[in-house]
Amino acid sequence: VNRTHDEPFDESWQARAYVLVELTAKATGTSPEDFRTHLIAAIAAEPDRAYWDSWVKALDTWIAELDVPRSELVEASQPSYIEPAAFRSAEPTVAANSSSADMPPGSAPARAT
Amino acid sequence: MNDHDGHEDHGAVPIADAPARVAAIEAVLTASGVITSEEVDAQVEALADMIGPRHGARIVARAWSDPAFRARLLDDAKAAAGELGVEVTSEDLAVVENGPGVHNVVVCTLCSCYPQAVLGIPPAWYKSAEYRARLVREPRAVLAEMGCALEDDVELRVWDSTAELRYLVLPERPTHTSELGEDQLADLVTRDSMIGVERL
Repeated sequence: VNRTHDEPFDESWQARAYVLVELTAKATGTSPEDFRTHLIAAIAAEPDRAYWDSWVKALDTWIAELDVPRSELVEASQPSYIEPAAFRSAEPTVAANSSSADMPPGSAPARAT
Repeated sequence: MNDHDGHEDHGAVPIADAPARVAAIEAVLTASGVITSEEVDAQVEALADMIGPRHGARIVARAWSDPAFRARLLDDAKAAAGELGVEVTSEDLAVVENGPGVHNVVVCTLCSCYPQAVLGIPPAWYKSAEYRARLVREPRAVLAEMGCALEDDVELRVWDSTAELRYLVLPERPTHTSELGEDQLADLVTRDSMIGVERL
Protein backbone atom coordinates (compact mmCIF):
# COMPACT_ATOMS: atom_id res chain seq x y z
CA VAL A 1 0.00 0.00 0.00
CA ASN A 2 1.48 3.27 -1.10
CA ARG A 3 1.13 5.51 1.90
CA THR A 4 2.77 8.39 0.08
CA HIS A 5 -0.31 8.51 -2.13
CA ASP A 6 -1.79 10.70 0.50
CA GLU A 7 -3.83 13.50 -0.99
CA PRO A 8 -7.60 12.97 -1.12
CA PHE A 9 -7.78 14.15 -4.72
CA ASP A 10 -5.34 13.68 -7.56
CA GLU A 11 -7.27 15.87 -9.97
CA SER A 12 -9.57 18.84 -9.51
CA TRP A 13 -12.47 17.05 -11.20
CA GLN A 14 -12.42 14.49 -8.37
CA ALA A 15 -13.02 17.21 -5.81
CA ARG A 16 -15.84 18.50 -7.97
CA ALA A 17 -17.36 15.04 -8.24
CA TYR A 18 -17.14 14.72 -4.47
CA VAL A 19 -18.88 18.03 -3.92
CA LEU A 20 -21.62 17.23 -6.41
CA VAL A 21 -22.77 14.40 -4.19
CA GLU A 22 -22.91 16.53 -1.06
CA LEU A 23 -24.70 19.43 -2.68
CA THR A 24 -27.13 17.31 -4.67
CA ALA A 25 -28.07 15.24 -1.66
CA LYS A 26 -28.72 18.39 0.32
CA ALA A 27 -30.69 20.04 -2.46
CA THR A 28 -32.86 17.02 -3.18
CA GLY A 29 -33.41 16.01 0.41
CA THR A 30 -31.72 12.68 -0.09
CA SER A 31 -28.94 11.19 1.96
CA PRO A 32 -25.36 10.89 0.79
CA GLU A 33 -25.74 7.31 1.95
CA ASP A 34 -28.14 6.73 -0.93
CA PHE A 35 -25.26 7.60 -3.19
CA ARG A 36 -23.00 5.27 -1.23
CA THR A 37 -25.10 2.28 -2.19
CA HIS A 38 -24.40 3.15 -5.82
CA LEU A 39 -20.72 3.55 -5.06
CA ILE A 40 -20.56 0.17 -3.37
CA ALA A 41 -22.27 -1.39 -6.39
CA ALA A 42 -19.94 0.33 -8.83
CA ILE A 43 -16.85 -0.82 -6.96
CA ALA A 44 -18.17 -4.35 -6.58
CA ALA A 45 -18.95 -4.53 -10.28
CA GLU A 46 -15.40 -3.68 -11.28
CA PRO A 47 -13.08 -3.92 -8.28
CA ASP A 48 -10.01 -3.08 -10.33
CA ARG A 49 -11.49 0.08 -11.78
CA ALA A 50 -9.94 3.28 -10.47
CA TYR A 51 -11.76 4.51 -7.37
CA TRP A 52 -12.76 7.86 -8.82
CA ASP A 53 -13.97 6.24 -12.02
CA SER A 54 -16.26 4.12 -9.88
CA TRP A 55 -17.32 7.29 -8.10
CA VAL A 56 -18.32 8.84 -11.43
CA LYS A 57 -20.14 5.68 -12.44
CA ALA A 58 -22.05 5.77 -9.17
CA LEU A 59 -22.77 9.46 -9.59
CA ASP A 60 -24.14 8.71 -13.00
CA THR A 61 -26.58 6.05 -11.84
CA TRP A 62 -27.53 7.96 -8.70
CA ILE A 63 -28.32 11.15 -10.58
CA ALA A 64 -30.36 9.14 -13.07
CA GLU A 65 -32.57 8.02 -10.19
CA LEU A 66 -33.20 11.54 -8.99
CA ASP A 67 -35.77 13.85 -10.42
CA VAL A 68 -33.54 15.28 -13.12
CA PRO A 69 -35.01 15.35 -16.62
CA ARG A 70 -33.76 12.35 -18.49
CA SER A 71 -33.56 14.18 -21.78
CA GLU A 72 -31.10 16.66 -20.33
CA LEU A 73 -28.94 13.93 -18.90
CA VAL A 74 -28.83 12.14 -22.21
CA GLU A 75 -28.09 15.31 -24.14
CA ALA A 76 -25.33 16.38 -21.81
CA SER A 77 -23.79 12.96 -22.22
CA GLN A 78 -23.00 13.56 -25.87
CA PRO A 79 -19.22 13.71 -26.06
CA SER A 80 -19.32 16.26 -28.82
CA TYR A 81 -21.01 18.72 -26.51
CA ILE A 82 -18.33 18.56 -23.87
CA GLU A 83 -15.17 20.57 -23.59
CA PRO A 84 -13.14 18.71 -20.96
CA ALA A 85 -10.21 21.08 -21.20
CA ALA A 86 -12.41 23.91 -20.05
CA PHE A 87 -13.65 21.95 -17.06
CA ARG A 88 -10.94 23.27 -14.80
CA SER A 89 -12.40 26.73 -15.07
CA ALA A 90 -15.11 27.87 -12.73
CA GLU A 91 -17.80 27.50 -15.37
CA PRO A 92 -18.13 24.07 -16.96
CA THR A 93 -18.64 24.40 -20.68
CA VAL A 94 -21.26 21.80 -21.27
CA ALA A 95 -24.49 22.11 -23.13
CA ALA A 96 -27.06 20.81 -20.73
CA ASN A 97 -30.33 22.13 -21.99
CA SER A 98 -29.62 23.18 -25.55
CA SER A 99 -29.66 21.26 -28.75
CA SER A 100 -26.53 20.34 -30.64
CA ALA A 101 -27.35 22.90 -33.27
CA ASP A 102 -27.28 25.90 -30.99
CA MET A 103 -24.54 24.95 -28.56
CA PRO A 104 -21.07 25.58 -29.86
CA PRO A 105 -18.18 24.06 -27.93
CA GLY A 106 -16.98 26.34 -25.19
CA SER A 107 -20.31 27.90 -24.47
CA ALA A 108 -21.37 28.24 -20.87
CA PRO A 109 -24.36 26.22 -19.72
CA ALA A 110 -27.67 27.89 -19.34
CA ARG A 111 -28.68 28.46 -15.75
CA ALA A 112 -32.14 27.66 -14.54
CA THR A 113 -33.86 30.43 -12.73
CA MET B 1 -29.39 -2.34 -18.72
CA ASN B 2 -25.87 -1.90 -17.62
CA ASP B 3 -24.04 -5.20 -17.66
CA HIS B 4 -21.87 -4.46 -14.67
CA ASP B 5 -23.58 -3.03 -11.64
CA GLY B 6 -27.22 -3.72 -12.00
CA HIS B 7 -28.24 -0.08 -12.29
CA GLU B 8 -29.92 1.13 -15.42
CA ASP B 9 -28.16 3.75 -17.44
CA HIS B 10 -31.45 5.39 -18.38
CA GLY B 11 -30.24 5.95 -21.89
CA ALA B 12 -27.21 7.98 -20.97
CA VAL B 13 -24.39 7.67 -23.46
CA PRO B 14 -21.36 6.07 -21.82
CA ILE B 15 -18.39 8.37 -21.62
CA ALA B 16 -14.95 7.00 -20.97
CA ASP B 17 -13.60 10.39 -19.94
CA ALA B 18 -14.53 10.77 -16.29
CA PRO B 19 -13.78 14.51 -16.04
CA ALA B 20 -16.04 15.15 -18.99
CA ARG B 21 -18.76 13.05 -17.46
CA VAL B 22 -18.56 14.97 -14.19
CA ALA B 23 -18.77 18.21 -16.13
CA ALA B 24 -21.84 16.92 -17.92
CA ILE B 25 -23.56 15.92 -14.71
CA GLU B 26 -22.74 19.24 -13.10
CA ALA B 27 -24.17 21.02 -16.11
CA VAL B 28 -27.38 19.02 -15.88
CA LEU B 29 -27.73 19.75 -12.19
CA THR B 30 -27.12 23.46 -12.63
CA ALA B 31 -29.40 23.73 -15.65
CA SER B 32 -32.10 21.92 -13.71
CA GLY B 33 -31.73 24.33 -10.82
CA VAL B 34 -30.72 21.62 -8.37
CA ILE B 35 -27.41 23.33 -7.60
CA THR B 36 -25.40 26.26 -8.90
CA SER B 37 -21.84 26.27 -10.12
CA GLU B 38 -21.12 28.97 -7.56
CA GLU B 39 -22.14 26.56 -4.82
CA VAL B 40 -19.86 23.91 -6.28
CA ASP B 41 -16.96 26.34 -6.51
CA ALA B 42 -17.47 27.49 -2.93
CA GLN B 43 -17.72 23.96 -1.61
CA VAL B 44 -14.60 22.86 -3.46
CA GLU B 45 -12.73 25.74 -1.86
CA ALA B 46 -14.14 24.82 1.53
CA LEU B 47 -12.79 21.29 1.14
CA ALA B 48 -9.35 22.62 1.96
CA ASP B 49 -10.55 23.29 5.49
CA MET B 50 -12.32 19.94 5.75
CA ILE B 51 -9.41 17.79 4.70
CA GLY B 52 -7.56 17.96 7.98
CA PRO B 53 -8.24 15.73 10.98
CA ARG B 54 -8.22 18.52 13.55
CA HIS B 55 -11.52 17.54 15.16
CA GLY B 56 -10.32 14.02 15.71
CA ALA B 57 -7.06 15.28 17.16
CA ARG B 58 -8.94 17.48 19.64
CA ILE B 59 -11.08 14.53 20.70
CA VAL B 60 -8.05 12.33 21.25
CA ALA B 61 -6.21 15.02 23.18
CA ARG B 62 -9.20 15.53 25.44
CA ALA B 63 -9.50 11.80 26.02
CA TRP B 64 -5.84 11.63 27.00
CA SER B 65 -6.28 14.54 29.40
CA ASP B 66 -9.65 13.78 30.93
CA PRO B 67 -10.39 10.20 32.06
CA ALA B 68 -14.08 10.94 32.50
CA PHE B 69 -14.32 12.22 28.93
CA ARG B 70 -12.41 9.17 27.71
CA ALA B 71 -14.96 6.92 29.37
CA ARG B 72 -17.84 8.83 27.82
CA LEU B 73 -16.10 8.74 24.45
CA LEU B 74 -15.74 4.99 24.51
CA ASP B 75 -19.33 4.61 25.64
CA ASP B 76 -21.00 7.07 23.23
CA ALA B 77 -18.60 8.67 20.80
CA LYS B 78 -21.15 10.85 19.05
CA ALA B 79 -22.32 12.40 22.27
CA ALA B 80 -18.79 12.90 23.53
CA ALA B 81 -17.74 14.51 20.26
CA GLY B 82 -20.72 16.79 20.60
CA GLU B 83 -19.33 18.03 23.91
CA LEU B 84 -16.47 19.53 21.89
CA GLY B 85 -18.82 20.98 19.32
CA VAL B 86 -18.07 18.29 16.76
CA GLU B 87 -21.30 17.22 15.13
CA VAL B 88 -21.44 13.71 13.71
CA THR B 89 -24.67 13.61 11.77
CA SER B 90 -25.52 10.91 9.30
CA GLU B 91 -23.73 7.90 10.71
CA ASP B 92 -22.84 6.38 14.03
CA LEU B 93 -19.33 6.65 15.39
CA ALA B 94 -17.43 4.21 17.56
CA VAL B 95 -14.07 4.80 19.19
CA VAL B 96 -11.74 1.85 19.60
CA GLU B 97 -8.86 2.23 22.00
CA ASN B 98 -5.30 1.11 21.57
CA GLY B 99 -3.45 -0.05 24.64
CA PRO B 100 -0.63 -2.25 25.78
CA GLY B 101 -0.89 -5.39 23.71
CA VAL B 102 -3.81 -4.18 21.58
CA HIS B 103 -3.77 -2.27 18.30
CA ASN B 104 -6.77 -1.26 16.20
CA VAL B 105 -6.91 -0.37 12.52
CA VAL B 106 -9.81 0.75 10.35
CA VAL B 107 -10.77 -0.05 6.78
CA CYS B 108 -13.83 0.01 4.57
CA THR B 109 -13.79 -3.10 2.45
CA LEU B 110 -16.82 -2.13 0.36
CA CYS B 111 -15.99 1.44 -0.61
CA SER B 112 -14.56 4.32 1.42
CA CYS B 113 -16.66 4.76 4.56
CA TYR B 114 -14.71 7.02 6.86
CA PRO B 115 -15.46 9.24 9.87
CA GLN B 116 -15.27 12.47 7.90
CA ALA B 117 -16.76 14.57 10.66
CA VAL B 118 -13.66 13.97 12.74
CA LEU B 119 -10.95 13.05 10.23
CA GLY B 120 -11.85 15.07 7.16
CA ILE B 121 -11.59 13.53 3.73
CA PRO B 122 -9.89 10.15 3.42
CA PRO B 123 -6.48 9.90 1.79
CA ALA B 124 -6.10 8.22 -1.56
CA TRP B 125 -4.52 5.08 -0.16
CA TYR B 126 -7.48 4.48 2.18
CA LYS B 127 -9.73 4.23 -0.88
CA SER B 128 -7.38 2.05 -2.88
CA ALA B 129 -8.42 -1.46 -3.80
CA GLU B 130 -5.13 -2.73 -2.43
CA TYR B 131 -5.65 -1.34 1.07
CA ARG B 132 -9.30 -2.37 1.19
CA ALA B 133 -8.59 -5.91 0.08
CA ARG B 134 -5.32 -6.65 1.75
CA LEU B 135 -5.88 -5.13 5.18
CA VAL B 136 -8.37 -7.82 6.08
CA ARG B 137 -6.30 -10.64 4.58
CA GLU B 138 -2.84 -9.75 5.80
CA PRO B 139 -3.17 -6.80 8.16
CA ARG B 140 0.23 -7.16 9.83
CA ALA B 141 2.00 -7.19 6.50
CA VAL B 142 0.12 -4.14 5.30
CA LEU B 143 0.81 -2.24 8.50
CA ALA B 144 4.49 -3.16 8.32
CA GLU B 145 4.66 -1.89 4.75
CA MET B 146 3.14 1.35 5.95
CA GLY B 147 5.76 1.71 8.65
CA CYS B 148 3.71 0.36 11.54
CA ALA B 149 5.26 -2.99 12.34
CA LEU B 150 3.63 -4.67 15.32
CA GLU B 151 5.22 -7.10 17.72
CA ASP B 152 3.95 -10.66 17.44
CA ASP B 153 2.32 -10.54 20.85
CA VAL B 154 0.23 -7.49 20.03
CA GLU B 155 -3.38 -8.33 19.31
CA LEU B 156 -4.47 -6.68 16.09
CA ARG B 157 -8.12 -5.79 15.61
CA VAL B 158 -9.35 -4.79 12.15
CA TRP B 159 -12.59 -2.81 12.01
CA ASP B 160 -14.59 -2.76 8.80
CA SER B 161 -16.52 0.49 8.46
CA THR B 162 -19.98 0.65 7.02
CA ALA B 163 -22.33 3.37 5.91
CA GLU B 164 -24.02 3.12 9.28
CA LEU B 165 -21.01 2.86 11.58
CA ARG B 166 -17.58 4.48 11.31
CA TYR B 167 -14.60 3.96 13.59
CA LEU B 168 -12.00 6.22 15.13
CA VAL B 169 -8.89 4.78 16.75
CA LEU B 170 -7.87 6.26 20.07
CA PRO B 171 -4.09 5.94 19.96
CA GLU B 172 -1.94 5.41 23.01
CA ARG B 173 -0.68 8.61 24.53
CA PRO B 174 3.03 9.04 23.79
CA THR B 175 5.39 8.86 26.70
CA HIS B 176 6.97 11.99 28.13
CA THR B 177 3.94 14.12 27.38
CA SER B 178 2.61 14.57 30.91
CA GLU B 179 3.54 18.25 30.91
CA LEU B 180 1.70 19.07 27.72
CA GLY B 181 -1.65 20.79 27.54
CA GLU B 182 -4.52 19.72 25.32
CA ASP B 183 -3.59 21.94 22.41
CA GLN B 184 -0.03 20.68 22.45
CA LEU B 185 -1.23 17.10 22.68
CA ALA B 186 -3.58 17.64 19.73
CA ASP B 187 -0.61 18.74 17.66
CA LEU B 188 0.95 15.32 18.22
CA VAL B 189 -2.06 13.39 16.96
CA THR B 190 -1.92 12.38 13.32
CA ARG B 191 -4.70 11.33 11.01
CA ASP B 192 -2.95 8.03 10.34
CA SER B 193 -2.75 7.23 14.04
CA MET B 194 -6.51 7.64 14.25
CA ILE B 195 -6.97 5.26 11.32
CA GLY B 196 -4.53 2.89 12.98
CA VAL B 197 -1.75 2.70 10.41
CA GLU B 198 0.65 4.62 12.63
CA ARG B 199 1.72 4.48 16.27
CA LEU B 200 2.68 7.67 18.04
